[in-house]
Order: sequence, then structure tokens, then C-alpha cells
Amino acid sequence: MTEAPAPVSAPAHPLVIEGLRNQFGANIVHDNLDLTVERGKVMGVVGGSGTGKTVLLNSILGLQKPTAGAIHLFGKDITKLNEKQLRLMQSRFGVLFQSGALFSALSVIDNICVPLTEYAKLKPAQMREIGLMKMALAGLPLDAADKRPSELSGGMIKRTALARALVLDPELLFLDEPTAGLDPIGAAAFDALIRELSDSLNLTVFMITHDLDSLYAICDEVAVLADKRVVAQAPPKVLEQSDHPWIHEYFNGPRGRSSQSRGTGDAS
Amino acid sequence: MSKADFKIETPPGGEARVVSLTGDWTAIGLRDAGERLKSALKSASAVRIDTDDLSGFDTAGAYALRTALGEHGDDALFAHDPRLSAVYELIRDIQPKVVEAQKKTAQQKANPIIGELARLGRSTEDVFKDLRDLNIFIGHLVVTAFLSLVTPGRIRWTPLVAQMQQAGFGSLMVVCVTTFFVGAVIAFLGILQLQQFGAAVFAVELIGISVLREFGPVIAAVLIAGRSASSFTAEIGAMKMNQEISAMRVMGINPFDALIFPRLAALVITMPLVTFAGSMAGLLGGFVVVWAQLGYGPHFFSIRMTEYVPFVNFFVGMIKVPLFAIAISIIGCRLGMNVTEDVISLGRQVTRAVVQAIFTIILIDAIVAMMFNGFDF
Repeated sequence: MTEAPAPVSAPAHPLVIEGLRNQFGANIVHDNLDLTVERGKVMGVVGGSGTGKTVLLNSILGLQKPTAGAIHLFGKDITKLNEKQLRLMQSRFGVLFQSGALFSALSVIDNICVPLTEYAKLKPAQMREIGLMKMALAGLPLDAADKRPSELSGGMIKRTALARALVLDPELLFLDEPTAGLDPIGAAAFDALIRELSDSLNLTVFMITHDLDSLYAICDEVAVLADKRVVAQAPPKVLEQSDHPWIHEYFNGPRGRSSQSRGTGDAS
Repeated sequence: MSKADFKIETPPGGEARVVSLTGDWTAIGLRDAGERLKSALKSASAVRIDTDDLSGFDTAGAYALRTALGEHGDDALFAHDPRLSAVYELIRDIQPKVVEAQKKTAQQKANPIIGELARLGRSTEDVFKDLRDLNIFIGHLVVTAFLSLVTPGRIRWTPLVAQMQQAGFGSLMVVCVTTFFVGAVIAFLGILQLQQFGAAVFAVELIGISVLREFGPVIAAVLIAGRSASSFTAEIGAMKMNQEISAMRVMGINPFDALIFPRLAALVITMPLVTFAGSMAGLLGGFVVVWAQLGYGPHFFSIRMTEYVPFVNFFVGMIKVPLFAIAISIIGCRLGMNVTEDVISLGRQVTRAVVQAIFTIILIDAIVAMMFNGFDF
């Protein structure tokens, strides 16, 4: 029962979370958390430290079994998939981990080609070409192909990890703090890259971030994690008006204000 | 998931040929479709693309298509479908760059013989660099050790005691158990062989000399090398990766004082003690077997030990232990300081530390054995 990824009109949302509950001993991280990400949208997830953003991502990716609730990817409950179905599902999303998580034993191009060697039956030369093509897409200089991850700068590590996440052209892309640790120019360029790719490849993006500039620059919607659940889900402009104390503080604090003005400046 | 394929139709009126793409033109479905299309289109001039039966199309498929089509019919190829067009446009200008980069790497691939010679040259250079670094490291350590002896206020007692506990006392159990069994095995084999000459009682001398002079010290040193050389390298290497060493230096703390001298001193102090305990355990193991096999009790064993096993054996055994301790700590700490920022180098240095430490122990043991050959008092 293999199912071709339908290019245009698939009925199911890429990601639906219903009543998610995560609990470690007596510590309840999420309780009755609901979240839906629509196809082609860029969803930002924000929340204070310790609100379980990473736990949420790990639950979605299947790295951590939720205590209760259901997570549907492309309409299928990921906890109920068998191994083969799970593998197929895993080829449909890409993940950019916070620190890149590049395999330190492999060169840049080999890192990018890892998913290809796992899933695609291609000749080595062909694979390398596709890898190089993804490097160019991710804005990496092609002569960096045979470098080791330890020789790369922070920005290039992120771009390499992005190229690897994109190598199978996933429909859904998970980003964990993509701009953390980048300088403002590099971060802005990375934001622009993600926006461009998500537009032309019709990507759905689920992005955990602390970067207010990223939220304004590329997110269609922002989900706010607080009080163990998603307390609000709306475009950033709408969330500025929220009464919730944390959201108000987040968007109307000193950093929020400067991003707001810049975000408006970009839009006009 | 269906495989990527295509059909080529030539309309009669001399119009552009139509390539109908079918299946998944994606990284997973592609296989060799791009190459086949390229060879099928070799002589073609203009083509049109028909995508009615196309079930999937991604950048990998677009790349293969772009390679196959070359410069033919690029304009408005997917004019009827903006989604496909967006993907294709993304790749269109990238493809020539990729081909160029591929050509460049192909040119750079050097003659394999020259490559091997270059590798040999590099590793020879590395050996000399390594020797130089080792000398620099030992120099630093000697200076630190002298300064610590002259001004004991420099010594950091907390890490010293912690290392004595961890590297010394922590290894006591495993060293004793191992030497106990080694002593027992020597006794078994010795009795078995010596019995043939009716000289089974000489097994006591065999046990005494071999355990006190060789097995006790060497087995203790090998075990401690496996435990401590690796943990020194891993601890210091992890600190180096985490920039902790840099932080120390910036705060005016000399890592030789804070990290390396305590480890050296801890091993130099505790290894003789552990070795002594291990040697005693080895004798005990031998004694148990002698008692069980030959029926000679503790009284006989102790008299025979003191009268027939010269004290020089114990002396030769113990005198090399501090040398082992110095070798283990120098190798472990130096390779830890060599760790660079990536995880692979940490693993590699830990492995090197254990191998080098054990190798050096055997080497020192052989040198000492030669030096004290025939030595008597």
C-alpha cells in the first residue's frame, strides 16, 4: 500500500495534533495540546524556556512516545504505523536539528546524500550531482563539497543541514531554532532562503524559534506554547493584540517592538 | 511509488516532439530515467513536455530533466502548470554550475601513486610533529612538577585526592581480582609441568618470582592504562571541546597545574599501592591452588616464599611502577589536550591513548627487565 505523494490536492493536513499529553513522572509538560498546520504554511512555534518546544518536536518526529493523544502526519497516526510505513513517512519530512546534527565522519556532500543512499536507487555520480544541486539551493559554495563538518562555520553548518533535510524534497520541513547562533545578516539570509524554498517547493514548515525577526519575516502563523498547551495560533500581527500576559510581553517587549517596526518596513 | 518513465511521440507535421513524462520524477522514483531520456533525445531539436500522467515531480526530477533536455525547449516548458514551473525554474540555472563543479573535482583527482606518496609524506611529517609536541608537553610537565615540589602551595589538592580516589582506589578491586586469577593459573600450569620432574614444590618459587617481578606490576599497569589513560583523554578532551581549557587559561589557571599534574601525581602515588595489593592477591591465588593441589598449607608456603624467593624480585617489580604511572598519565593527558573540536577526534584520541599506553608499558617493562638482568642483592 504505497501511496504517491499527491502533488496538488491532498485532503489531509500535513500535521494535526490532538489532545497531546506529555508527562515525565509528576512533571506534566503538555496537557491537551491541539495544533493543526495547513499545507504550504510556515508555522512558527514560540514559548518560554521550559514550555516543551523541543519535547513537542520530539513527539512529532516519533523520537518520544506521548503519554496520551494523537499526532497525525498527512492524515496518519504516527504511533500506529508499522516499520515500513514509518520509513515511507520519514521520507516525506525533513528535519533541521538545532546544532545541525551533521555526521562528523562524513564530508558535506556525503552528509547531504545520506537520505539518498537510504531511499533512492541512484548511481553515485548522479547522487553527487543531486547533492551538489541541493548545496546550490541551500546557498552553499559548491567547492565546499568535500569539506568536513568541523571545518565549517556556523552558518554553513545550518545550510548543510538544511540541504540534507531537503534532499528528498520533503513536503514537511521541521526546523529547530534555525537562526540561533547566526549573525543578523546570516539569519536574515537564512530566513529569506527558507521563505523562497517554501514558496517554490510548496513546503509546509514547522519552525521552533526564539527569533522575533524570523517570525515577522517568514511565518504565516505563530503558535504560542504556554500553560502546557497552545494558547494562541494566529499571524504575528494578530498576536500583538493578544491579552495573554506572556504573549503581550513577548510581542510588545523592547525586542518585540523593534522587530515589529522592521517587519512592517519589510512588508510595505 | 511508481518508477519514473517517459514516452516520446513524433507528430507527423514536423512539429516539436512531445515527451510524455509518467510516474514519479522524484529522488526516490527517478532511478535511471534521466539518463535514458538523455540518450533518447540525443538528436532532438525542440521538444514539448506533456505532464498529464506525471504523478510526482521534485527538484531531483527537475534536475534530471534539465540535464536530459540541455538547451532544447527551455522556454515556457511548464507554462501550463505554475507549480512544476516553479520547481523547474529553481533548478534551471543551478544545473550548469553543478556540472562545472563536477568537472572540476574530476580534474582535481590526482594520480593514485602521487596520492599515496603524499599520504606517506604527510604521515611521516606527523610522526615528527608528534615527537616535537611530546617533548614540549613533557617539558611543561617537568617544569610544573618541579614548581609544585618547590612550592607545594601550587598543588591543587582537591583534584589530586579526587583522582587518587578515582584512578587509584577505583581500580583496586579489578586489579586484585585479575592478578588473583593470574596467580592461580600460573600455579596450575607450574604444578602440572613441575610434577613431571617430581619438583612440584618449586611451583611456589615460580609463583613468587613471576607474580612479584612481572605479572603483578604489568597486569596492574595494563588495567590502569585501560581505565585511566582512556578516561584522562576523554575527560580532558571533552573539556577541550567545550572550551573549558580556554576558559581556564583566560582566568589565569594553568591547565598543567589544575588538570595534568594532579593526574600524574595521583597515579604515581597510588599505582605502587594498587600494584602491591595486586601482587599480594596474585600470591594468594597461587597459594590457594598450591594448597588445594599439593596440600601444603600457609605455614609451608610462607616459609618457602621468604627463604627461596629473593627480595630483589619484589624490588625490580615495584621500581618500574612509577615509570608506568608517568607513562600512562603523560600519554592520557597529552592526547586529551590534542583533541580538536569534532567528536571523531575525541574517539580517535581515546583509542590511541589506550594503545600507546599499553605499548609503552610493555616497552618499559622490557627495558627494565634487560637492565636488571642478573642484578642481585
